[in-house]
Amino acid sequence: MNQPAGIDVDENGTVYVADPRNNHVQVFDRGGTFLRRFPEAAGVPREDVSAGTTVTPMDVAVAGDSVYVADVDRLLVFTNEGEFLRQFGQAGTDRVHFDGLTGVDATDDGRIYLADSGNGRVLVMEANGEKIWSVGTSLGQSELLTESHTYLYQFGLPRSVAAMDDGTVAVLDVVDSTLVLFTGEGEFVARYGMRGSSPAEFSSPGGIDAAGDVLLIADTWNHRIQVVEPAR
Amino acid sequence: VTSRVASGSASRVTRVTRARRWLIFTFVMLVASNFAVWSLVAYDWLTQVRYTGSAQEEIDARREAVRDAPDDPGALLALAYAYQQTGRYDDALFTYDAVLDLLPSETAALYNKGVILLKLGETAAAEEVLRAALDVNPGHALAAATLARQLVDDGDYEAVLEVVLPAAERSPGAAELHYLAGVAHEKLGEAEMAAERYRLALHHYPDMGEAREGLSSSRCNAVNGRGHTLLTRTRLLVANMVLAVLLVAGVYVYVLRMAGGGYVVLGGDPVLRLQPLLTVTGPGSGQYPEFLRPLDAAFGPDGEIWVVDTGNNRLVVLGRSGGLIREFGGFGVTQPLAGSEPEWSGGL
Repeated sequence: MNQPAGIDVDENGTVYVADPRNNHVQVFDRGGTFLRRFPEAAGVPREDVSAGTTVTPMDVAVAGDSVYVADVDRLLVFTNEGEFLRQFGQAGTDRVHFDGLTGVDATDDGRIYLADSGNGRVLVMEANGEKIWSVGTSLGQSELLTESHTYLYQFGLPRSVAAMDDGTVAVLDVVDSTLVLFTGEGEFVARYGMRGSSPAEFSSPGGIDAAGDVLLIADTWNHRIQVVEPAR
Repeated sequence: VTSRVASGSASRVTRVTRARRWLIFTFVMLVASNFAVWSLVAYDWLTQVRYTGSAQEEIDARREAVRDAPDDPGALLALAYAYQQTGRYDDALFTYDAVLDLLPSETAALYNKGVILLKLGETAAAEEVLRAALDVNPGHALAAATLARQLVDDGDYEAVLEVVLPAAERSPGAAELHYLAGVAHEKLGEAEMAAERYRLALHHYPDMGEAREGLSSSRCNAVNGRGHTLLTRTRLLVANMVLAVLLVAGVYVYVLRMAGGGYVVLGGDPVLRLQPLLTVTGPGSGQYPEFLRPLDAAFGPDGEIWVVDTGNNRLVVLGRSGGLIREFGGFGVTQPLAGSEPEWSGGL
């Protein structure tokens, strides 16, 4: 591995690791035995991922039979075995484009949650890529707010996103060092935490996962992980 | 020889004008950028949600006091002032009138009423109550100054002197009154008397910039008979330095507000707390007992915690309570083979 950036574990305990500098996703079983990596061939131009291409996976999410890979400015979907299925998005700053996908999560009902950090927004979409709602815009993009199902929240930089069991969407803001919760419909719920090194404080946190009411946060620049429960 | 001297002085003149032009250019640029930055800050400040809870509490408390002692003009006055401070001018006027029913010659009520009426733009009514306050107490410096300022705006300089001079006699320490008298004298063309008044104002309040300016301009008027409005190089230089400091301060404030997250439009319930359940700083043993910049983490199916320990190029598996189960991985840019055993294992 070379500076691995993201991880997800499926219900069997199979582990998917986003290894951006090696340009692939590595898969291990729960005992740590290496199983496979994909896309198989590296170093091929990125235009056609189905033929094998260079991807830079920043984060990975697995739900059901699909593996979602956040590849900077596009979202790639593979089977569990690493076979390419489809991709969404391309580079850009308007509503259909991504600018620095740094976080992805997916649920078994097929919803995909994206932290589109360069565009300063979190986007929730159907498995077919249709937008359900989004929240936040980067500065100078306030015209996006006129779009339907776009909610107002000014992120510092949304780095990572996780969907909780009750549908609540948890977003880690790496610049504000805060945790922000939205309902499954995109309404703002609460904002927690602040920059600091005490418990329940963060320093540029990079990644988040959810289980039940509990959140697991990689508190990157405090060099630690935290498990927290938002009181509501 | 003559020509050389002449050309030398000419080039000096050019240099001077060029330096001055440069100063003026810098000045204009600084004014523009200051305007931009500070309007951003102001916009930011104006659009944020503000809470007036404490002001309301203050008003409630004072209203309670009035209910307890309805005939106490002091309690009424305090309530009226609280209304005035929070911008509820109609309530404040009503309450001041209640005070004046009890004590018709209460100058504080008259003066504050005048201030509010001025704010509401009812200048005639304001002048009337301010004059009433001065009838009761001709030495009421605040009332005199407020009325005089209004009269200066009206351009009635004779009336200014009529108001200000008796008040200044009774309250000689009020620099503002001397200054206003100076303004009136100056406008009436009495430069010497104006200068005298400005000097008195500065004597009582040495930092009063307006009076200082007035003094220098009235002196000029006395000597030249006309004002000097030229921007001297020193003044420009000082103004530029002040503006530069302001600009830096503005940018600093703006960045601070943005980075501090103060920009959030939506507020959360401040009672909400994040309950810390577990904090783990590393596997605690092995070659690298501490995490280094872990970028992501995920729960496994049995609640175990998988950590991508980015800086150490490894994965760490922790139990539900944070104890180390396993760690594996290591730096590598080669391609691992499917089915191969992990090459490096620390910890357990």
